[in-house]
Amino acid sequence: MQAVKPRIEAVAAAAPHRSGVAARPAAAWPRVRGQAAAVAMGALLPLALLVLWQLAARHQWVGSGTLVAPRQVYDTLAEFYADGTLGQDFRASLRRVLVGYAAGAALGLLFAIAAGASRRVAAAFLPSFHVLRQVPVIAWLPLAIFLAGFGEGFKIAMVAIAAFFPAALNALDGIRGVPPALLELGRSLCFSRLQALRRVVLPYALPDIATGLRLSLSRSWMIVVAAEMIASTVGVGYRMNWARQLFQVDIVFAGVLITGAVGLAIDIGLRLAFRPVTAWRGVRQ
Amino acid sequence: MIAALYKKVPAGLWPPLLVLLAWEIGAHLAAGRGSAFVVPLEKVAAAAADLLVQGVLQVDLGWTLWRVASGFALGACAGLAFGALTGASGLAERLAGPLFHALRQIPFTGLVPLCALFLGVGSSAQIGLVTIAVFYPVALNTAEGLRAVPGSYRELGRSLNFSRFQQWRRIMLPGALPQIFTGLKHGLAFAWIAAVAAELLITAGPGLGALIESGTTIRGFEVSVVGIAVIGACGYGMSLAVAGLEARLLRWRGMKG
Repeated sequence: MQAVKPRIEAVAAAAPHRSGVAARPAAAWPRVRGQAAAVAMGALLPLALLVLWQLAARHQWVGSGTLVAPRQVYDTLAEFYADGTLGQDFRASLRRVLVGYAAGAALGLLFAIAAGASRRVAAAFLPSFHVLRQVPVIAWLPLAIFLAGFGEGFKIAMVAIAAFFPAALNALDGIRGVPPALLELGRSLCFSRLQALRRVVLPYALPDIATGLRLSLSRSWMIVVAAEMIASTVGVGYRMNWARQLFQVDIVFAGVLITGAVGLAIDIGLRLAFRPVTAWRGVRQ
Repeated sequence: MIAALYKKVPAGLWPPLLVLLAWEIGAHLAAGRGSAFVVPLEKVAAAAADLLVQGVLQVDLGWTLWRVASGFALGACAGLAFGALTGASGLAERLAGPLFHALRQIPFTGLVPLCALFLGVGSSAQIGLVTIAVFYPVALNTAEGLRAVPGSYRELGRSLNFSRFQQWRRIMLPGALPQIFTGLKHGLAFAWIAAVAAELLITAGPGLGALIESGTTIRGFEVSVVGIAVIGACGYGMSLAVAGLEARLLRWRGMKG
């Protein structure tokens, strides 16, 4: 799943700071009211669907037994939270994601820097890179299982593969996009290679790197769920697949909620976390 | 002689060649020690030939392509309709937008058990997953493309007394087309990934995902390797074909410079 890459207007001479224009108190009220109205509007449809879902489940409009009421999903979630199963699964999945992501994203960044810095490395490795990134990450599953066995190793390896490609691809784009004039400036200041990397290339590529790191983490979360479905004894993906086999519909729904909530948290969290480094170049995210 | 050879082979071919060489040597070294995991390349080639001759590969590829095509058709139609609605109507966007963006964050691998529950462990669940994977990028890009049509263009249509149909036909759709195409392009890439993932995670019926899965259980590992290679090659071919098509269809975009 290759990056839905935001098109970047390469504005070399962008203002370094977008001054935080504080809304004047007089204008603040209508804006707050506008936001409240927007939230209310946005909540309308989900609430209606929730009511419809509850009614459909109670009166068995759809498939006997396959649709459980939202109330029951909530109870199941509360129960799993109380008896620690939820925490255990969640921690197991999170650990795999963090270890694999750290390894994969770091390797991706290093690869991008190496390919961006050296024409030789680029010529040798980029063709393979562009072919390999066309293979859906999930297709590596059998290979990862063969190489690393059914234990923790293959799940972490899968996450690392999933994290590697978006991190490398976006960082590469960012590094490639550094205007030649800026590199020239570095040369005329007699920057060493390392200085040019640290003072010119990385700061310029930072917004793209941030985009890559965010996509990598989303991808990692997606893959860990899949890997846990294939072979695991603990984890969010494992719990969902186990529940499906036992026709525990409420647990499956609870799992969907959790995977969605984590996905949302990753997306919003990293967007906010990276905002200081992405805002200056006007990157649309 | 080696230096001459080094110059002749493109630099990009060296890493894969070296990896294959290491693989081949490693496989033969490991063969004596009873490790079944590393299969030599000739065995992979033989497996590929076998699968081709028996027609297994063609059947699996055909099934995967069928799921990609039908899921893409369904998801793209739904995405275009939803995107057009939310892109053109502010009310629809305010109502359905937040829910859409929240649901979009559910990784589609998380929807696998849900689809399998409601659509049964079979082809319809697999196609359902492909449909969902295609829907989001198409809907998102269609809506954004429509919203990005400059106000002055719309005004032009109004001042020419365009009917609603004419306005869509002559102004909105052409204006949004490049981004709609971007959405379809991402949708197709996602369809391919989702089809393989669905076949791997919901093992039912033939398909390339089922083929690589069977390599880990019944058939030998070499079958998995063949399957991964075919999946990668098809994905690469597909992205090349779409890039070519885009360049042809949207030639006019480059004209305004």
